[in-house]
Amino acid sequence: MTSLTSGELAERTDGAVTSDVVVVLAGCHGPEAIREGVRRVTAGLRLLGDDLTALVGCTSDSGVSTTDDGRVRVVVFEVDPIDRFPVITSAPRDVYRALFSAGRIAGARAMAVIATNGDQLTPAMVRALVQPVIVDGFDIVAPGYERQVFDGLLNAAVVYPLTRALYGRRIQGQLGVDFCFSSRVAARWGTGAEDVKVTRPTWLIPQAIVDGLRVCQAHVEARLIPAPDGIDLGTLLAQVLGSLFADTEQRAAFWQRVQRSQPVPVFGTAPLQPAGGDQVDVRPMIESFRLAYRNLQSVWTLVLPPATLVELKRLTLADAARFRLTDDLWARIVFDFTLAHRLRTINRDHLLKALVPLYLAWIASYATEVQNATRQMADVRLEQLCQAFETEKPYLVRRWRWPDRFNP
Amino acid sequence: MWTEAQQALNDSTTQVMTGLARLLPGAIALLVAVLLSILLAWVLGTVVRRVLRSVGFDQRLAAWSWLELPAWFTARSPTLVVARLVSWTVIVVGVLIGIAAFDTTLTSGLVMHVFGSLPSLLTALVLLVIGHTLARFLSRGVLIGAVNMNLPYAGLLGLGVRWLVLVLTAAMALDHVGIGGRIVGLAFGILFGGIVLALALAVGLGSKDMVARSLEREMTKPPEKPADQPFRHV
Repeated sequence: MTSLTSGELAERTDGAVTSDVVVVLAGCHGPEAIREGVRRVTAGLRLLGDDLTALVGCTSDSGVSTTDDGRVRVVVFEVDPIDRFPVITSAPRDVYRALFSAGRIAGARAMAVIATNGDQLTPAMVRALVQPVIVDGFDIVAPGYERQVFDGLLNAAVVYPLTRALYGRRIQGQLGVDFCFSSRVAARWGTGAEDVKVTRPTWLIPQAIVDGLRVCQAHVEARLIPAPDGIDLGTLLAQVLGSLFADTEQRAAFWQRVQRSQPVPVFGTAPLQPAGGDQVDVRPMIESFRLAYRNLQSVWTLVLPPATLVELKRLTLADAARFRLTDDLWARIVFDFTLAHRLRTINRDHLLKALVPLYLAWIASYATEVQNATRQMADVRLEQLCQAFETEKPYLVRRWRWPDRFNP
Repeated sequence: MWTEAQQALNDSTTQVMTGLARLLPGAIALLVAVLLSILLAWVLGTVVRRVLRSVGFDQRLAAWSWLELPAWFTARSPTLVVARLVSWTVIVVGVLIGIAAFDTTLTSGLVMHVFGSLPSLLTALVLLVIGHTLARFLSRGVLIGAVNMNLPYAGLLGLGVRWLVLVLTAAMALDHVGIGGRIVGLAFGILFGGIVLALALAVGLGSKDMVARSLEREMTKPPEKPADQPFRHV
């Protein structure tokens, strides 16, 4: 489906088009799951007030068209259901386009995409996402998920620190699947029949910052569903970082002017977790890194400067207990790969897959440091990493502006 | 007797001088043709270089990520390479025109032969360039993939793929221009078959114990937890 017309929407809602909130349940598949999802969304909206009317879009017919009080109407949006991995790999534009289109027609104040499903989709989660838009006037609510120490590592290692350093806002949830938008967003994004500008999750937050929209983060009591098994790490990195780096290239004029980051309002807090989680064996990752150092010299020398290669060589000689990939080195490595992606130094797919052993080295280093820590302690460690990215940002700006002069 | 000898000497001198006199215009024409072609080559080379630089040829070429250019090509700037190619083509054509001034039949035969085999040569050149590009692309892909799969002989695999593609391309190019005849095909067959046989023997004989142990482990033990099980990347 591309975008809804007002006639189509009126037909599906029996004329009751106007709604305060539009919600797309993109993660619920099957009649039973959809009915349960609608029930929880309704309960969540009730927490915000009894007078709110809502339109809930589902991926297929569940046999429910309205709630008992008639304030929530259910329509089939015929959108492609969101699975965890396609959210990252391909453009879930149908969902966003349908959402914004319906939101504009319905005159909605808030529009939410909720792809979390099952028991994790709770009324409290719905309220957490919608409330900042309805009550506090924010334009985009990004999700802050329940996170174990080793959850969302790619986000922690690259996506969040890089986005934060580039765009100057501290928003962690951009690889999430649940977002809420205001009517301002619907008016700006995804108008017309052409492809909406919203293409990938890594696009959302940077574009919102560039557009000067008010962004906040809401803690949701759900753990982000993982990528399905069988997806190899190289493909995952290539898809996620490929879109992130491509997006970085588009907005270079903006982020080169940004200095340091600012926090955004955060609603809700993550519960304290006891220390001592999973014990991990980092030796296989270190061995992978050493193997890569021996074999990928011909690739890495095209991307990384000699000083970085020297530091990596030193790292190969360290034993597992003393294996530490320093934050500033990791930041420069990510920046060098970002630049190589822009310059197309080598084939982009090869480039991103050549980052995998370095990413594993970072995980090994991070895991050694935090494997007995609580989530809050790990967050402190990641904050240091983010600050290193911000400190090293001038390195990226220099190389971005004069790549030949700083060519390794 | 003396008179006849003198006559013969005069005749031969006259013949040589006539021959030399006949060659002189050709030599001058060759000299002029070469000089003019050098001048034209310089002008055309400069024009081509400036035009390519003005349209950002190097950057456009670099932007084609699928095109893996050889190291020497990117190092010397593609613009310069194209400009020099144009210049040398003009000079070669000028030399051929100059030679044509000596003997039309000889040169026309030479020119016909050169131009007749030019398509084959160009096709072979294109084959070599494509082969080189493909070899780099594939070997790099195999190398990175093998490293990410933790294969200890990743470098060897990458190198093997590279040389396999290069040898295959070279054999195709030589076969296309007709150099070597059946020897090229035969040599390639022997080489390729030898590599495959060597690999088969290496795996079959050298690794049979390892394969047996691996199979035994798979059959008797429950599947092991992946090393990065506690980690969630996204």
